[in-house]
Amino acid sequence: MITVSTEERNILIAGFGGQGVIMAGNVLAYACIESGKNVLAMASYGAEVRGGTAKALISISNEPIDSPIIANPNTAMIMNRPSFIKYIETIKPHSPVILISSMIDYHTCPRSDLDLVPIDATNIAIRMGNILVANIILLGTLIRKTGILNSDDVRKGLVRAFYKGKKHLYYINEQAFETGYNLI
Amino acid sequence: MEATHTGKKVLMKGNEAVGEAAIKAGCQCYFAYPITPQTETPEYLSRRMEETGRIFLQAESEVAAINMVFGAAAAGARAMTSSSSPGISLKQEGISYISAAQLPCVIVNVVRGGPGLGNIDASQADYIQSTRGGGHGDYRCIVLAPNSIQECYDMTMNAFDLADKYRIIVMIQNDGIIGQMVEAFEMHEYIPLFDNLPAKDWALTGCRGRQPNVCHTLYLGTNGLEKLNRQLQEKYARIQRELAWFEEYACENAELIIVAYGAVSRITKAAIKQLNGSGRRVGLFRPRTLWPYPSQRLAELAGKMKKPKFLVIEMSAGQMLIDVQLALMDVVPKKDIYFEGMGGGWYSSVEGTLKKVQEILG
Repeated sequence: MITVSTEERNILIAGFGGQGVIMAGNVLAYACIESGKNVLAMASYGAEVRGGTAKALISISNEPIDSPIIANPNTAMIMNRPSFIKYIETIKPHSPVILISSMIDYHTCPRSDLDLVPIDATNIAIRMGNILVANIILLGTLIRKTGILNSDDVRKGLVRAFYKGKKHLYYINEQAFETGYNLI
Repeated sequence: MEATHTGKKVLMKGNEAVGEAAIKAGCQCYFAYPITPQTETPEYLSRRMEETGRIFLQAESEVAAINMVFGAAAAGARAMTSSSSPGISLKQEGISYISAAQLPCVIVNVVRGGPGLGNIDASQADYIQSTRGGGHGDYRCIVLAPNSIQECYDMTMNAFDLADKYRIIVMIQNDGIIGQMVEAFEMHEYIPLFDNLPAKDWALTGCRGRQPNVCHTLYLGTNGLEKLNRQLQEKYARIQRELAWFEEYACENAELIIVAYGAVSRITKAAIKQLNGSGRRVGLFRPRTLWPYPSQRLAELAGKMKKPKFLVIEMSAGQMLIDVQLALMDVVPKKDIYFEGMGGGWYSSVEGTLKKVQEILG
């Protein structure tokens, strides 16, 4: 039995444009709607989504969310090295940081006060048959690690996110979520 | 994002909510040209306008788009355009003409960093341009300032009604944060702001069986222009009497009231909750109409304070500050109106707000 956390979470998701940063954020946001929690999401919207680092910031709370600007997230999911370098110093101490182990040399992390959770999501995704689901594997781990949302609500969020236009990708993403959720 | 229907709550970006509200409010014609950070509105409406059998046209330029709005509004249609700062500057000639012709329409400005092409981050530096007209001549636009996705939705509906009631341009001044952020909101059906709106008997709808209507902005060799200006000023005075929207938070017994709008008001509210949680008494006054400015209420609040102190925070270099100073000129010494501004797409922060309040209150 996983207990659902009630504290406010400010989650940073960052990686290359194309890795599914925004999609992972959307799934989280939809899951919040399913769970009845408040959510506020801001994603990068500039030219950087075509190659550089992309990021999404998602605030989740039982209370109304005021500030749309998050300087210091208390949870992170990091999918490439440039993002790791760029954001690692901004994360609050003792926060869980889920990261792709094959792309980030996390042993060189300049901080020892973070709860690093390296996941070999790239290779797991390749073995599952689609490298693109690495983001949802990580999201599964993040949900298990933080307990911020009920996993059933995230499954419903996946349905929402992939329902229109991407239905053929729903099942592998659902599988990716289960895989990530059960990794730790 | 796709709309999510769970009960009545829906998840959307501010720019998309603006688009859906326009659909619900019966916007018949939408003309625009893409520019970050407002492009989700034309993207959304390119699909929805077609689905609902309306006119969507991506114009060849911002100038063309505003003049298409001019034409559609003259024909009596509910018409809208949207853009971001540099694009709004390009539209100013058309905005002045539409104001002279007293035509109703809605213009959305998702403000970004300037001057020049600037950057694509959020800013509020078009405040003076929006509230003082922006183009040439003595005119005003009603300016609405949402601070949530719910308000993006509701205020866009309101904008069409206000425009039709007063035969005026209604601008929605958003910023890159409000336009881009995603929140859940109640996507209700169209709620009219007024029971009745005046008939558009001035519209150019074909004059068979009646005298032709004329829509023009050139007045040579007569006193017509003087008369038009008098009419306009009377109309603006009436709007100032009838319209002033605002939100107050924790203003009762406050030792300091912070004045902020748009995204800044939300960052400010987060800071105020922290301050009041540690024993301070700080309030938030948020204008929801930037023109007319809710000056009277601001002065009333000042009158209730023992030793009134105000702090204006805006993502511009003291543009709204002028309206606050004007509102309070008879009741608060200028030195007790403090200011914190930031430009170039730089946001205010909770930490910065806490620090500034500490400086003021000691």
